[in-house]
Amino acid sequence: MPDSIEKAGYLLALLLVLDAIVGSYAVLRAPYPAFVNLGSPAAYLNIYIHVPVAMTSYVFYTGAFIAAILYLHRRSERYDRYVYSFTLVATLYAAYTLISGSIWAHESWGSYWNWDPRETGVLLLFLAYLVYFALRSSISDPDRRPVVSATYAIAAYSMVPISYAAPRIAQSSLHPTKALLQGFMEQPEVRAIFFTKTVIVLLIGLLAVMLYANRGQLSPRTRRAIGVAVLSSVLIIIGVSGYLAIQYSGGEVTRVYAVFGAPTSAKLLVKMGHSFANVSIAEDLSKYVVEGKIALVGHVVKLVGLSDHSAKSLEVLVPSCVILDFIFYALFISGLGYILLRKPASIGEEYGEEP
Amino acid sequence: MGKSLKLFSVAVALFLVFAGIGYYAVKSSAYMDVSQVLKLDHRAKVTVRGYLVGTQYDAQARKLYLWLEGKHGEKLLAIADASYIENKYGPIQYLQWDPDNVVLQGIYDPQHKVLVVTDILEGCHSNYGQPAART
Repeated sequence: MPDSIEKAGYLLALLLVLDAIVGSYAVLRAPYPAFVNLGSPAAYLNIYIHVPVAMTSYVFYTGAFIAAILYLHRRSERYDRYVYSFTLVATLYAAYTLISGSIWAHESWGSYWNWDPRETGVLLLFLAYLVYFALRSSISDPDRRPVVSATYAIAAYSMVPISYAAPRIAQSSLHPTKALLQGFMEQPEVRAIFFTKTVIVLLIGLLAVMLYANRGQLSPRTRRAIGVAVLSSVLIIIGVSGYLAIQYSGGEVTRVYAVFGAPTSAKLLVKMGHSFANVSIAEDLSKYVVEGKIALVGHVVKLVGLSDHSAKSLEVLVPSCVILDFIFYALFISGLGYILLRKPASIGEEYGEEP
Repeated sequence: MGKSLKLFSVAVALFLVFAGIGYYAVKSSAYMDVSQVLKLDHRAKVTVRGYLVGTQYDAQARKLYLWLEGKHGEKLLAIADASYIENKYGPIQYLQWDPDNVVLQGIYDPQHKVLVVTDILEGCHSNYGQPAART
């Protein structure tokens, strides 16, 4: 077993770095819907950051549910450790889901929090599982603690199917259903990036659960490897976020509301100060043409060489909601690293017992 | 085994209670239909979803009028401040709506059967049917 724990530690380290690379590629180069009704089309790059974490949190809560049933059935301390570890990792994933979702919602739906049925469902799920930790740490009797908390973990799991099915239950949601997503997801590059990211995020979570449940068996060398991987991952993400943020300098940053004319002599309706103005672009915009239309409406752009309502060229910028979500992703990875590498004051404290 | 069975029973009972609370919370967070709003007999803050069947812009008054149609064909007039809309969505004449997914928040005035809009939210359902682009 210790050997497999060591291997899992190295695999986790590798996956953390790979995850940062795939995530960086996604925010820099992945496809997004060309035309959207509100906000920047590039805000949909959040599909590759927010959605995999949201989806896999359900898997970890399911793991906690199964482990809780097994614990009540067999009363093995091992299953109790897995209930706690699955719940801890899943709750970290759910916290990131809530934060990244509301940042994206502000750009694409118009408000940070909309009391959308799915949002409400995930919030209830998150709160229900926070109670798990409060309940567990409030019981001082070491025999009762795992029994009561496993019973509660089974009950709290009811929020998972409710949260997942919320758009169908409420029959009105700003969240799309699976069927509505299918068209976009069927595009080969979207599918390749999205599923690669989802599998990596899932494996990272599963390995984190396994390692947390067996923390005492990790050698200092493996712990160091995980620490270096977390640091590398965070540096890659912060580096790419910084690069995207720097793109905002060196020109007039504005949003495009309408496009007129041919790609070689296009005019853009943009916001200049407190009013709207038409700006002609000297650059050939053919590279932005999608299905015969210049796909720039909604985008945050940087107008370079702007003078007297004409600009030499433009650059499409990745919107701040994607950059911010990616920075929060670095925090999320740091959090995962922290819970794995933090040294408990005692073995008991590791699973919510008082030291 | 008897003790385990008792604990499982408690877990299942709690599961059902939680599921009931969750189901009710999610169901009640569904956006109101136009017909439900029109039945209100007192001023209330509402979030209503409907099909956008018409818009009209009064440039002098700087107001945008939106007509939402409910599931059963009832229509609700909503009035939004143009400067708020322009700030959030851009110039009124270039607004693009997904008519099936407009969600309005506002104060409903039952006397005049009008919704005074405080916020406009929009779902992203139709956006996923669009071709792909990249930066």
